[in-house]
Amino acid sequence: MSTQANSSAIGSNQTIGLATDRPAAQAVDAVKVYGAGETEVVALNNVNISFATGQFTAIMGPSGSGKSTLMHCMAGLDRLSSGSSHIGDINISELSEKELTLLRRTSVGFIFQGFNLIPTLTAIENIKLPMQLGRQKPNDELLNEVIEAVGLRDRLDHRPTELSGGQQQRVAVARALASAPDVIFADEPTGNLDSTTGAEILDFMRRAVTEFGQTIVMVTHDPVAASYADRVVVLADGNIVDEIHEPTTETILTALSSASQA
Amino acid sequence: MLILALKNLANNKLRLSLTATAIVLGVGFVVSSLVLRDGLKDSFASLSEDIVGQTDLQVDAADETKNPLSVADLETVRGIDGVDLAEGSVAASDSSPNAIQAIKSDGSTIPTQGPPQIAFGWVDQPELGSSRIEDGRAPEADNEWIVDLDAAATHEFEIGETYDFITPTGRQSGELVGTFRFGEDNTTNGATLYGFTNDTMRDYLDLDADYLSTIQIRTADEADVAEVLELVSVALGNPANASFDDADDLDGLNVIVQDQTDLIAESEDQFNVALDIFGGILLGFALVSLFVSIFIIANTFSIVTAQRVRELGLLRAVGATPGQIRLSVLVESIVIGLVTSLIGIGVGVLIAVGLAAILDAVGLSLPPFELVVSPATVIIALAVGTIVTVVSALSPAIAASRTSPIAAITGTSDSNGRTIGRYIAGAAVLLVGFALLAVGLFGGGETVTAIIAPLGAGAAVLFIGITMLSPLVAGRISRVLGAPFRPLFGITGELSTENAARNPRRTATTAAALMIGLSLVSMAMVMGESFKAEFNRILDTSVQADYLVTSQGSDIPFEVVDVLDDNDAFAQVNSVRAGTAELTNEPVDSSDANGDGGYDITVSTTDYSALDGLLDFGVTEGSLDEIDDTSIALLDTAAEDLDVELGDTVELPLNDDSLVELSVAAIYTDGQIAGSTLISPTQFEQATDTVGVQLVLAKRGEATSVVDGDMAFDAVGAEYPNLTFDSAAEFRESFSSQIDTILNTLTALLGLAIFIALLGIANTLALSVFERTKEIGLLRAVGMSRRQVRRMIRLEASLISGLGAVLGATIGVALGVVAVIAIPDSFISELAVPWSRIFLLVALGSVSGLVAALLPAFRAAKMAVLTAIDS
Ligand SMILES: Nc1ncnc2c1ncn2[C@@H]1O[C@H](COP(=O)(O)OP(=O)(O)OP(=O)(O)O)[C@@H](O)[C@H]1O
Ligand SMILES: [Mg+2]
Repeated sequence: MSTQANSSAIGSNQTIGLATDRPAAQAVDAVKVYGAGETEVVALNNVNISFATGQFTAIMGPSGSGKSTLMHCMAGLDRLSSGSSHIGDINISELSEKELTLLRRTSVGFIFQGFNLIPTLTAIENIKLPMQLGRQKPNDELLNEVIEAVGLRDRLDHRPTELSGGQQQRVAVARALASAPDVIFADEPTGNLDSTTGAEILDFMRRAVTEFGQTIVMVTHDPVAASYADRVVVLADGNIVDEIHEPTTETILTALSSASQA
Repeated sequence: MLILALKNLANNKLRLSLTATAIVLGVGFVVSSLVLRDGLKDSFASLSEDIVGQTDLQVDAADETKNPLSVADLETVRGIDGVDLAEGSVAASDSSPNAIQAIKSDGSTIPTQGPPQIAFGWVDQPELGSSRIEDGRAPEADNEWIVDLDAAATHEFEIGETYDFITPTGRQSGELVGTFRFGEDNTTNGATLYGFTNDTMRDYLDLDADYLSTIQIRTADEADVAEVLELVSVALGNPANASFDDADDLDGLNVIVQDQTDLIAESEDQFNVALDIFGGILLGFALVSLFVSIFIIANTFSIVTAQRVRELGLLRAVGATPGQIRLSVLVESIVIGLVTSLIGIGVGVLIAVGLAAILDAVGLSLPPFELVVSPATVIIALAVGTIVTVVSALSPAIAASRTSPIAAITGTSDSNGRTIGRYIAGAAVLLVGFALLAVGLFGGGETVTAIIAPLGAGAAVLFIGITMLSPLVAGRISRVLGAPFRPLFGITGELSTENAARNPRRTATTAAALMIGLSLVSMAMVMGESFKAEFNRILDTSVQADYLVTSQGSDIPFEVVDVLDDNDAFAQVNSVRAGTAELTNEPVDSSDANGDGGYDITVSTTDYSALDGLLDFGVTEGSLDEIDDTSIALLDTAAEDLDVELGDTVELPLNDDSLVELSVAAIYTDGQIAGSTLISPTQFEQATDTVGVQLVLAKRGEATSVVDGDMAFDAVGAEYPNLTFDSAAEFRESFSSQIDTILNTLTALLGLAIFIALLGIANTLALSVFERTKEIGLLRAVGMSRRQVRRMIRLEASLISGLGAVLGATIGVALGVVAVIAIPDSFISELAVPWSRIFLLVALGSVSGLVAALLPAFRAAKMAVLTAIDS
C-alpha cells in the first residue's frame, strides 16, 4: 500500500496494478436454474468469466439471455445453482447470508436502473450509507474526491425527489465509488436517462476506471454505452457467445446481430 | 364493480386479516359485555323465583322504622279466610347488610367485598319459601343455626361444631345444627345464607320481642288470591283497594301486600338495577375499544387505498366512474364488516368467559351464569361492526374515487392539496369537543347521564380533533423522540426516524389509537393521585387519631368503642356515625338530586366533648361544643347552598314525621369525614335509621409506648375479624392500595383498547413494509443486515408508540387536571400528578411498540433482496 501513497485516493485503496493476474471478480462453471420440471429455465448455462481489476466490462445480449442473473449471482445478491463465484480472493458461494451482507457493504458497489436512492436520506447520506451501515468512518479524502468528480457539491443536502434522474444516478455512482469496493456492478445504469445525461454518467464511470483504477461491470442494451467499456461480453441463452476488446459501436453491433441470429 | 370488490378481498388476505382483527376485538368486547349482562340477568331471574318460592302473598311494613310488623299482625293474618298457612320471619334489614357474620374455624370471616352474607329467621315450613333442610335439622333453640350447603362446603362449617358470630349486639356463639338447600340447586349466586330462630335473630339485632320483618302466606287452594290480598291488606290497617305499585308513594299505608308475580318482578328489578350499572360500565369500556378500532380500520383502509392508486387509476383510465370506485371500496368494507362482526360474536363469548375469570382472579367473583347470546346481541353486534367498518371506509372511499386516471402512469395520488382544510376542520372539531366537555363539567347536569353523556361524547370528539391536527406535530415529535437513535444506532436509527416522520398523517392516526387508551389511563392516574393527596390532607389536618377502626360492608358494633375506652392504653376514644337525611329548607341551587324540594344531606354525629387529639372538622364560625338537641353544624358549602348563617335555623324531619327546628351553631370546612351536617347523638337516632358506628378513633395514652399501643390495639382487633383495625399509617396505606386496585382494574379494562392500538401499529408497519419493499431491497443490497432491518422497523414502531404515549399522557394529564378542578372542592380539592408513574407509562407505552413490530420486522428482514429490487 505504501507504494501507492502518492497516487489518487481511490487508487490507493485498490490492489490494482499490483496483481493484474488476479481478477477482481470471477465466475467458475456458473449454472443458474429457475423453477423445476416443466417450468424449468436455465438462465446461466455453465458460464466461466473473470473481470480483471481496473477493467470496465459491458455485458450485452438479447432480453432474457441471463445478463442480470449473472450479475446478481456474481454480486452476492443471489446464489448459483452450481459452480462458484468469487470477489477478490473470496469464494462468495461459500459465504453465509451474514457474510454476504458484509461483503456487499464493503467490497461490492451497486448501481441499478431505476430505484437507487433511499428517499428519506439526503444525497450525501445516501452516498455514505454503506459505510454508515457498517458504522465505519468514511474516508473523507476519497469522499471529497468522489463528490468533486460527480459535481454534486451544491446538491448534497437535497433529497432524491429534489434531484433530476441524471443527478440521482450520479449520486448512485458516487455511493458505489465512495466505499472503494473491489468491483461495481451496474444493471442498465443509463436505461432511464436521455442520451446526453446518459453520456455524462458513462463518462464519469469511464474516468473512475481510468483515473482511479476502479473495476466496473455494466449490463447494457445500448451499443453506444457499451463502447465506453474496455471489453464487451455478449450473452445468449445463458452462454457467453462473443467477446470484444477495445470495442467500437460498429464492432458491437456486428457482434450483437450475429448473437441474435445464433 | 361488485365482482372487483369481492376479488379484491380474496386477493388480499393479509390486509384483510389485519383489519378484521381490529373489528373482531372491538365488536367482541361489546358482545361480551352484553353476554355477561344477559347471562347474569337470567341467573338472577331464576334466583328471584327461588327467593319467592311457593309464597302466594307476602306482607311487609310500609315503613319499617316507624311501624314494623309484629307477631300480633301474624295472628291477624292467620285468622283471615282463605289463608291456608302464614309464617313470620325476622331478617336483618337491607340498610345493614352483613350485620351477622360467622367466624370460620381459622378465626377469619368471609370477605364482605364479595356476595353478601344474609341472616334470616328460619321458617320451618316446607310449604312456604323455597329452602329445605339438607343435613341435620332446623334451628330450634337459642343460638342454634344452619347454613346453606355450598357455603358450608366452601367455608368448612361442620355440623355439630360451635362457631362464634359477630352481631350488632356483640360476639355470640352457637352450634351449627344443619345445612339447607336454597331452591332446586342452591343457586345463591355466591351469597352465604344463615338461618336462626326468629328469637335468636331478635336477640342479635336488638329488636323487640314481637318484631317481624315479613309475613309469608299460602292461600287455600279454592281461594282467590286477589281477594285474599285485599282482605289481608284491610285487616292490617290499610284503606280499601290500596295500591302498592308506587314504592315511593306509600302515604297512609300500614303494610305492603304483594302476590307472587309482583314479588318476583320486584326482586328482579332490584338485581337488574345493579346489573345494568355493571353492564353499562363494561359497555363503556367496550365502546372505548370500538372507538379505537375505528382509527385502526380507517387507517388501514386509507393506506391500502393509497397503495392501490395505480390500480384505481387504471380502472379510471379504462372507464370506471368515481361512483363505481367508491362503491367498490364500500362494498368491500360492508363484506368485511359483516363477516368480522359474525366472528366478533364468537370471540365476544370467549372474552366474556375470560373477563369473568379475570374478575374472579382479582377477587370480584361473578355469580355462576349461563352464556346467553340473545337475538338483540347478534343484531347489535352485526350493526355496530358493519357501521363502524363502513364509516371507517368512508373517507378512504371518497379519496379513492378522486383518483385521476393519470395515477395509473405516475403511481401517485394528488390528495395532499386539501391539508389546510383538514387542519381547519380539525380545529373546529377540537372546539366542539371542548364545548361538549365544558357542558359536561360545568353545565350543571342533574343526572349522571346528563353529565356522563356530554363528557363521553366530548372526549370522543376531542380525540378525533386531536387526531386530525396531530399530523402537524407528528413529524416533529417523531424527530425529537428519535434524536437519541442517531448516536445510538447510527444510520439505522436515522432511517427509522425518517420513516416515522415521512408520513405524518399515517403515523399520527396510528399513534392516535394508543393515545386514546393511554390518555384515559393517565387521566385516571391523575384523579387517583389527587384522591390520595386529598385523603392524606384530611389525615394530616382533620384526623389526628393514632388508631382507626373501619369496616367494609357492615356497621361497627357499639361495643368496640366501649372495649377500647376501657383499655388503659388509649387516652381518648371517639366514634363517628353517619346517615342520610333531607332538610326541608329550599336549597338555593339545584342540589336537590331527586327533585322533591328538600335538601339531601349526609348527617353525622360524634361525641363533641371527646374530639381533642382525634378529629378536627375545621370549624370557622361558632363552636361544636354548642351542638345539642336544638342545634346543628353545617359544612360551609351546605350553608351556602341553603343560604343560612350562624344563628339561622334549618328544619330536619325525624323518623316519626315530626319536624325539628335546629339553629346553626357552627360552620366547618372539612366535610370528608363528617359530611354536610353534624347533629347531636339524640337527634341522629331520631332522624336516621343507622344502627351502628362507621368510624372509631383512638389516641394512645401519654404513658403508653408506640409498641404497647399497637399491641393493645391489635389485641382488640383480633376479636373482630370482620373489622379493619389500622394505625394511622396503615390506614393511609390501605386507602392508597384501594385506589391502586381501582386504577389497576381500570387499566386492565382499557387493556383491550391498548391491545387493539398495538395491533394497529403492527398493521400500519406491515403495510408500510410492503409499500417500501423496493427500498428495503436496496438497503439490503448495499449492505444492511437482517438485524439492522429488524431494528429499523422496531425503532420506527417505538417512535409511533412513543408519539401515542406522549400525546396520550399530555392529554390525559390535562383532562385529569380539568376534572379534578371541576369536581367540587368539598369532595376533592387537592391536585396531584403522579409524574413518575406517568413517565413510566410513557416509557412502557413507547416500548410496547417494539412488541407490535415483531412480526412486521420479521417479515421485512426475511424479504429476499432480489424480489425486492425487481418488484
Ligand atoms: N426469479 C426468476 N424465476 C424464474 N425465472 C427467472 C427469474 N429471473 C429470471 N428468470 C428467467 O431467467 C432468464 C434470464 O433472465 P435475466 O433477468 O437474467 O435476463 P436479462 O438478460 O437480464 O434480460 P433483460 O435484458 O430483459 O433484463 C429469463 O428467461 C427469465 O425469464
Ligand atoms: Mg436484466
